[in-house]
Amino acid sequence: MQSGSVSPEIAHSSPQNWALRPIFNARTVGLVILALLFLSYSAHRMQLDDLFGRLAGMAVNAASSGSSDAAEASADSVFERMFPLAIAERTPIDRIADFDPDALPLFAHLETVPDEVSTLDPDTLQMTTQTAEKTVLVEPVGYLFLVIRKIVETLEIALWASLIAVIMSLPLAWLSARNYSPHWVFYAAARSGVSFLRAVPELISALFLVLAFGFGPIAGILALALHSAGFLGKFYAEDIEAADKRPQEAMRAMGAGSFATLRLAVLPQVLPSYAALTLYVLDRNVRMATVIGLVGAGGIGQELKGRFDMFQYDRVGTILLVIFITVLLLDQLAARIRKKLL
Amino acid sequence: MRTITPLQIQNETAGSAPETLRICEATKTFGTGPVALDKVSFSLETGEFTVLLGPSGSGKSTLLRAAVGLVRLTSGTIEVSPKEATPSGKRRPTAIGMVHQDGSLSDRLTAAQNVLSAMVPQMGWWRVLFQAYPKPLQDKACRLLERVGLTEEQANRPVRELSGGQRQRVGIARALMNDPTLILADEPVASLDPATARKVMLLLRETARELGATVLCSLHQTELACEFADRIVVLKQGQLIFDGAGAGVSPRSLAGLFDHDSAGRPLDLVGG
Repeated sequence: MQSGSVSPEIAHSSPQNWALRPIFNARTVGLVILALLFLSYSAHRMQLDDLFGRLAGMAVNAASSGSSDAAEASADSVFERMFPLAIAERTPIDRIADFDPDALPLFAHLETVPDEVSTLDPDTLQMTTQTAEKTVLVEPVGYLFLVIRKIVETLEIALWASLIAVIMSLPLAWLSARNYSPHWVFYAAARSGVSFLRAVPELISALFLVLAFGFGPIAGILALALHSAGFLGKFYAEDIEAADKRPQEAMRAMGAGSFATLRLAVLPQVLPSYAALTLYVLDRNVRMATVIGLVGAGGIGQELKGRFDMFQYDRVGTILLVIFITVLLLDQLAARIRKKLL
Repeated sequence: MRTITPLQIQNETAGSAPETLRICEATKTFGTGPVALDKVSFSLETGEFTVLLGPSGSGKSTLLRAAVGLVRLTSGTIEVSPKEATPSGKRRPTAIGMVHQDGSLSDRLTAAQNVLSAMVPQMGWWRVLFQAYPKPLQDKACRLLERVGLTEEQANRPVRELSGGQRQRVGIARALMNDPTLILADEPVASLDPATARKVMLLLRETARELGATVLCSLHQTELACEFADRIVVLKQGQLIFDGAGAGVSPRSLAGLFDHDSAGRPLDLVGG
């Protein structure tokens, strides 16, 4: 460490003979080969080789426009049966309780359509078809309205889930930030709690919560909130730990306690990142809220599952389209808010 | 540029001056590493502007941080009159103001909020939470910000939008907020260009004089030390190697003390 003058001995080998670290070596090559071997083994187990065969077969079939096998036919027809999309709602009036023809819903009208009723003739044991007149109530955009109402319900589920998640995760983040946790016991408990919350997928917890709280939005809200709280708790805590230490030291040098330091030296730093994380969670919860409806936890997913199981693919098509447009719009909105915050 | 006021306080307090800070055999080792501070002892007389001079890694920061309790000494004591500060007592008198290197302010808070944050230890949690400072404190913060040369508009701007020199001025205002009798400054001008550095040092000395506060300021620039110090203490590798009046010492002779060449530039580029 003592330096009088720069010693010429330091440069004992001339720079053109220096060996720089190679970018990859034998070990890297070996690891890559191992990874490829594993992937090829796993691909076989996952029947991915089969998939390539099928795709090739479908391509050949399409080219020769020959008949394809049953599975592909049903997939094709599901897609075909989605169109035209179901926008209107047609309900036979005899199915509506206390129907009042003088007080129709907005834009609705009545239509009389021929109704074919097949009955079994008890004498001849033959099916006979009789044509009768039937009045149906036609609401031109009735089904679309229903889907939009369901989408709004889905958004509400996501909103409440995110709100509850934020409120739950703030104390969790404080306890599981190593440098602000009051005691290591709290730290360990909070850390494992957060990991546990994150480890349980929404769909699984929704299954159980539906058992506990019944069908409907409550189960969905709780399922999403618990998972999101785990996610936010972890990342909020990591932001606190990674915050610039210099302002915090200055606060401590002035004799400020840990609450004041968190409030004045940490919170202003992490706030933009918190906002971005929260926005991401909201965005993700909207998408997840459509999915957890599949297990009966409310929202559009419940409607989707019902229609899918009843083979009403035209309605499924409407639902999918509305979901797609909603997610797209929210994405745009989130991107704008994020730009303003950062 | 402001004019330098004559060294009147030093003259008044010369002789049997009361001591503000007494450092006694301060020693600090980090793990098994080299000694950061090796039995450093000196005292500051009230009203003195002392510069703690030394190259990077000489223990200046450690000493200053020990004085406010950010670092615990391995052995030895640092007494800030009238209470003892470290290593045993966590309590320290609140009448210490500390000016840090750049980056110690809360970037997204405004200059005024940063200055007011010095009063946090005396306030209840809800006032901290909502940054609801009493009006007299707000007025005082505004006066201090005006004193260090900021405008009303700059006082309400987030600190990250201010220049490096302005940020250090805010740092000085924050250090002055609790009427300190002792101001510790840890390389307050390390990140500034020479002209701005001089202005900030001048401001530090003037404002300290107005308060009658004692200053211990660490620096690595020998020229600034000679210009501003009533007294210079030189640390090198944790040891006190020079202690003398600032007048009558030349930057060159000081530079020689810590391995600088005649141009005042460190030679230690390769060896560390």
